[in-house]
Amino acid sequence: MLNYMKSEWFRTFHRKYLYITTGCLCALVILASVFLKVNEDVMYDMTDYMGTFLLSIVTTGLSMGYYLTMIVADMIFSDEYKHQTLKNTVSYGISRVKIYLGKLISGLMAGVLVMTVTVAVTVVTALLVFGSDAEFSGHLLNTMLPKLLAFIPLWMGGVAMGTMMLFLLKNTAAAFAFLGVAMVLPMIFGYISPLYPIFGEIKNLMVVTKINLVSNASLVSGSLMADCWITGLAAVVMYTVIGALVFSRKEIK
Amino acid sequence: MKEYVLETNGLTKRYGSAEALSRADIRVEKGAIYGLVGNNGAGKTTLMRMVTGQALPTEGELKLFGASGLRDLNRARKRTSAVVETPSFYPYLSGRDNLEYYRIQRGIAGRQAVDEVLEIVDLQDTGRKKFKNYSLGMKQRLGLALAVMNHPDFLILDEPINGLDPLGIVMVRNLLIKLNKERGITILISSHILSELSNLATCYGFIHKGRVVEQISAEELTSKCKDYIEIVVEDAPRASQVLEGKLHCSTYEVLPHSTIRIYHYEGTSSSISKCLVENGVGVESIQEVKANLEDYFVKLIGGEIC
Repeated sequence: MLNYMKSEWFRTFHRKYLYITTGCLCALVILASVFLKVNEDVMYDMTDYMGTFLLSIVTTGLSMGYYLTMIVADMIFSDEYKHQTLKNTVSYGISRVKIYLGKLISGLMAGVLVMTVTVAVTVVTALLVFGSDAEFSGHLLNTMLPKLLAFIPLWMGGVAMGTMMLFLLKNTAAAFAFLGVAMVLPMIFGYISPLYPIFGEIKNLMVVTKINLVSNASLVSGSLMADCWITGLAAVVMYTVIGALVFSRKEIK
Repeated sequence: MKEYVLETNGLTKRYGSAEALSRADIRVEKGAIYGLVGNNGAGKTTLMRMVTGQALPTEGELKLFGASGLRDLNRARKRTSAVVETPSFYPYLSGRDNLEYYRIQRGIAGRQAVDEVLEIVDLQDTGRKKFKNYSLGMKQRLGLALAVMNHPDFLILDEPINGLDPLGIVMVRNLLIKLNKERGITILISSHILSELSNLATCYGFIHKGRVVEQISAEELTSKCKDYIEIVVEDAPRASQVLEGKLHCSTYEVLPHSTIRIYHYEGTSSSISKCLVENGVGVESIQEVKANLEDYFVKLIGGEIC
């Protein structure tokens, strides 16, 4: 499986997708910071702004990261069905489970890479544009870092779900299915939960619910952190088992 | 005792109620070039897809190098290489990068392996040209390059000369013969260009409507495909009387358009012509024909033998 993952990385680094995705995210972060700096006069005084507004923007951006995990999964899956390239790998006798896990782990690693670069650019840009002060550093350590740590397993769940969708469905259908599970399903469960409380319970267990909880929390408590890790890792296991089982019977063209 | 690289017993693939391959029993002997012959949709590609693990059999058994069972089959597949249907690669990578991707994936040591196979298929000068900009012939060559890169013991090729120019066809033919003779690689190959297949194959499997109708060695095929004399006459019934009465010929058939085919005739075509004319039967044309693989196949699926 190591060779398979190495080859996935070779292909990922020889494609523009990774650089364009990371570049776009970084450009957005830089533009947001510059925009805020230019309009500094019409906003709150700098300390409040640094402490609240910028960080709320960053937190919102991080919570959006869940939806971007589909892009990361797609980057690694790389239209295998459309290009019919999976048959070269399968016919060489690399087991379906290894292919699945290789893609998933490579996707998680790509996610870590994109996230690390984007977060680093965010922090460095904020420091360069707005300067450093004690309050900002405090917010960074006490608010941002715990939120980031809570988001990581949830993003992993997102990559696992995206990978499963891409293995089981065609690209466009996979994207719609991802958005359906991530956005539409929780809304539907929310609406029908007064009639059928079980759906409310299910909604509470969903990754996207935890994303919202972390986003809205002023501070991430220990129990919320544990909840996020349990939910995220459970999602990874669940999607991986379903995806690998179905893929192992799927016809490759 | 014969050693088989590929054996299938009752291999069947169903899609819903449609049977793409029905109880196929195939034996590919070690060192053979096995030509798979059949119409479009006959089941050739389905068979190859099951051998390569792309499709799972509905029923039946599949053995590669004597191994069966998913895990052992996957291990055996590492000794094989396949190009099934069109050669498929990542369009945004160059040919070289595509091969490098598979070299890493297959754990083949040394980057020179890529250069070597590119040279074999004459694609060494394509530079950074992306796969999406390759012609069909170039794509076929790249597919072959991938197929030989891991030094397989068993090569599975589905229509490998589709889209190749005449020089490309000769290159592929020579390469396959060389791989078979020098490295002892067993080859399972399908092609619609039966004349080309007959230049290569040492045995044949004929598939029709999902069934393997016959397996035959090239020698057996040659002996079965005897020469015949084809005559176009003005009066076919009268010609038949002359053939039977005067020439004592019983193995012939009358085809449409007053055409007669005479098999196993010891004499010459000119003696037949002379005899027919002397007995008042006008002869429009007469020629000696060597039956080929194509004729044999057409006869076979039509329920006749030559």
